[in-house]
Amino acid sequence: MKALSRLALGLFRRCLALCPPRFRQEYSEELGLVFRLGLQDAERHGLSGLARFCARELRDAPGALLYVYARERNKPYQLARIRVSERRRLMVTLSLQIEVSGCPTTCLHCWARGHAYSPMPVADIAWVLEGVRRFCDQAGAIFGAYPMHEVLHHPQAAEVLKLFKTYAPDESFEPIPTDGVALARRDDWQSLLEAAWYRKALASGVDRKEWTFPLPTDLVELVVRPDLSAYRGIAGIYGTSYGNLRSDPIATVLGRAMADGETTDSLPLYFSAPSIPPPAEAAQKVGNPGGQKLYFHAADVYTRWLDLALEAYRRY
Amino acid sequence: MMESPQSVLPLTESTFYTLLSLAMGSKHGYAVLKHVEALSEGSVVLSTSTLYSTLLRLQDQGLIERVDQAAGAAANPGLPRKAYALTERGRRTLEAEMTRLRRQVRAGQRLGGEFAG
Repeated sequence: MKALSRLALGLFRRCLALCPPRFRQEYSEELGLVFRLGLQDAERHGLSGLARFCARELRDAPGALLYVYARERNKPYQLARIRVSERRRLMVTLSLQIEVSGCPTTCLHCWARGHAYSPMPVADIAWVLEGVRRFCDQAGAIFGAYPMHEVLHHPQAAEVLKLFKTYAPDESFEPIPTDGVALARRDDWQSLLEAAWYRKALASGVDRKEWTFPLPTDLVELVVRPDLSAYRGIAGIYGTSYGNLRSDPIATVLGRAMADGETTDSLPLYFSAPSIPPPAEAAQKVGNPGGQKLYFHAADVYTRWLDLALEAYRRY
Repeated sequence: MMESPQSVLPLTESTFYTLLSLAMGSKHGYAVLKHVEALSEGSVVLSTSTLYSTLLRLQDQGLIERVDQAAGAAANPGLPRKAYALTERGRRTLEAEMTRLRRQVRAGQRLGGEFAG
């Protein structure tokens, strides 16, 4: 009986070796363990139990193997979509930005869309986060997510912030946006701050319209209006290491996390950018932003876009 | 785009029992295998290969997710470190399948006689 068990285990290992490398890397230890536990269980039922176990495995293994290969081939999340820049040998990170808050035209990010638009439902945001998280899991990439700015304009801002907290509780990015006016005008400002795991308070008399340029290259710090009565002495900061974008530790690695290259019914307003655009193309899209809803961009593209955003800000 | 729960119905027996097992709490692969056998009163005995192709497919459909085992369970080196848990979408799908099955049983019962159960 022991010999039969050893033979079964050996055959199983050979089958595992036939699986696609990525699947093997992720599942072989777990599969081996489950198989061994099943084998031990079968041994307790004597030779007939062991024979039944082996027969079942032999019967089902080819089909499962075919399934695993078919799944690998059809997987929408292909690592190949993440292009590593051979020229610079960086890559590094790719980020996915999604406009979730809508645009009431009070912020300075309309350069991305060029017109007002409605907020994304919380359920859709959750759907996107889940899709990206699964993509990262399958691609062996590190997942990170943070609410970037203007979240306070979302009608369910507290829910949005809590959602991000669920997905990335350790992210240290400051989630309160550039614009403190929105916070000041909301009755639920306390629950929002609580949801945003707010840690900083800043008192400053600087209105953002009074900023001078050029901005510091290593930190863009936007200070909100602290003088509104409802604001109660708390201000928001949005900071990003502008001079260090290529190693941004919290940028999300991503590729294609949703339906391949198609605008979906569930996200009709937010997206269609099937691949990472080269910088020139990205710049062109900024010039004609109507159709651009959600962005995939490599670090250098990101830098270019940020430059354009800052130019727009200067004009403002 | 995610399909609606109804779009994956009807479920195969192995899928149904796998989801049912996970509806009662997250489990590692071997626990699912044994639980499915128990739930089905021995009528569904999954092989390792079938179990994992089912689990992969269910993950792809967003019905279950692969999670880290709870701290206590993960401490046992004899058990897999990864577990599987039902997602909200999985729960809705299972409920839809059970509604569908109940409707079929009710139809049979309305005939009376030997079909009344």
